[in-house]
Amino acid sequence: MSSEKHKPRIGVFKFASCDGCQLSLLDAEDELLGVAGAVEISYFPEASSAMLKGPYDIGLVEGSITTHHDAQHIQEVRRQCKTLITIGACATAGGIQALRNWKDVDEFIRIVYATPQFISTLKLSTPIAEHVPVDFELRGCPINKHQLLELITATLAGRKPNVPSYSVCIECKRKANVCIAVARGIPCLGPVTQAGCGALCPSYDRGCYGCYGPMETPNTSSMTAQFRILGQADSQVARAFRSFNAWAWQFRKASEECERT
Amino acid sequence: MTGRVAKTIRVDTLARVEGEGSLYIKLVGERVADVKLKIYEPPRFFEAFLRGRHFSEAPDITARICGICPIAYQMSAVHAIERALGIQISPEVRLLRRLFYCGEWIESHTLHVYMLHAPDFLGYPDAIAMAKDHRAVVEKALRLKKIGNRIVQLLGGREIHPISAAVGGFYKVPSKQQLRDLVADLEWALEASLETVRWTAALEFPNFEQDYEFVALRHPDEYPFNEGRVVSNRGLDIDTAEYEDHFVSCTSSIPTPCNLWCGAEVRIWSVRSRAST
Repeated sequence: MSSEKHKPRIGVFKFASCDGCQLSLLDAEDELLGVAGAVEISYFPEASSAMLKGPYDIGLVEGSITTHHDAQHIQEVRRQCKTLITIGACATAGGIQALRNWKDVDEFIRIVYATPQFISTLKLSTPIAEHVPVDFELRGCPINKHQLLELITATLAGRKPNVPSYSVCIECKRKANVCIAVARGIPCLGPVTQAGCGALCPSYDRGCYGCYGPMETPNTSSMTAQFRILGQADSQVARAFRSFNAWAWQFRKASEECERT
Repeated sequence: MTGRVAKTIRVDTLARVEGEGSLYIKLVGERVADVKLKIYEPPRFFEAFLRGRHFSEAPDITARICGICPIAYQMSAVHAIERALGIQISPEVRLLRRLFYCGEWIESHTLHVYMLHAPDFLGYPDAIAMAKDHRAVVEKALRLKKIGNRIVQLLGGREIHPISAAVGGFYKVPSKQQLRDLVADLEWALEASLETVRWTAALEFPNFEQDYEFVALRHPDEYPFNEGRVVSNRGLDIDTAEYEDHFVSCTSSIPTPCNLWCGAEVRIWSVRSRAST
């Protein structure tokens, strides 16, 4: 018991999301039992009914803030976690549910739910960092499990995690993919999207749809111009920027500029 | 019966389910006096924001309803659009889709059986604690789950929110050799699955039966995955296109058996009584 006490304690918390990012931890089949030996997974309701009280050394937060209850709950979670890491596009950018942010959420409630009076929600879906200070944001819809393991390892070792913020293009070049945008004229968000997926979509003959969100310094106006050259209407370009990371400010600005023209 | 002490069971956070909910049970003696199941999973409004999107985007967007079973959602979107547009797929695509779906079933059901439910039957908080006494069982589960994920990864690019399924087929299909490479793992997995059935059947289940109406797909020639008729144990037998005529969706405060497993957009579906419509 005494040695268990010194193990770093990890808590996993969920807000509005699909559960996919926290599932990445359980999907690390080869590493799961090893991770569980090195840390104490103290709070992880998707995986365990133990649910031990805080404080926690690392808090992994999935999901965006969309209800009054969650806006209060994240404050409590922050207080309980020494290091708070947000995982995935919902937690880092508001997720696909942030598409409501340009629409009337009351209309959304009426058309989706048979008894709207049971539904309570905020007008905006917002990332965790808009509510509390966040120590690290791990991107992706979903996150990459190897990046998650690297991030946990680095945090416990007190070093900077090796999670690059360059674009998907770099990963494409490393894989020696022929550029689908240049060679085949397929619209691809790779130049403005952060790496981490392993250039997955271009490797499967389709354009990147931006699920890892904006790279460090994305040139979105040049990206928009390139999409236009490839024959995309402004409404199509706006939709391309407006998906899983729509509320990330660089993509948000790009989609709103397309709508204005 | 009078004088019996009332007892309440309150679970503020239901564990090992996808989605968020709480449960309240009031017992008087041996009798359940009240049950309240509360789903506080926040609504996300997929049906609303899908309006105005291009059809090719629907499979990518609907996958995000649930990270545990994204293929079920993206394939439903693919089928709906193919049906609306009258698209016929090739027999090869049909077979690859079955394999793709099987991959999700293997990984998702293994997660469900061994990591989410088995701890309840054997008295552990989670599969990790269970591994201390049942290491071989948990290691087998992880290997089986990984094989399911390997199929999904090969056909879809990644395990969670795969990117290759599309209206009309796949963006890219694997080579024959890549598919052949799965065989050895699958032969092991077939045996492991049969062992899973035997192992699960030996767990102690409470003697509790309820008068449910069970609904499933039925196909005349094969185990139904992607197509078939919607049937129930009480004689419902309809085409999938007639679904809306026979099912009602309600957000309800009534305690109704509800599938929390996929509760990202929580609804309580019930078969509309044909006598009352």
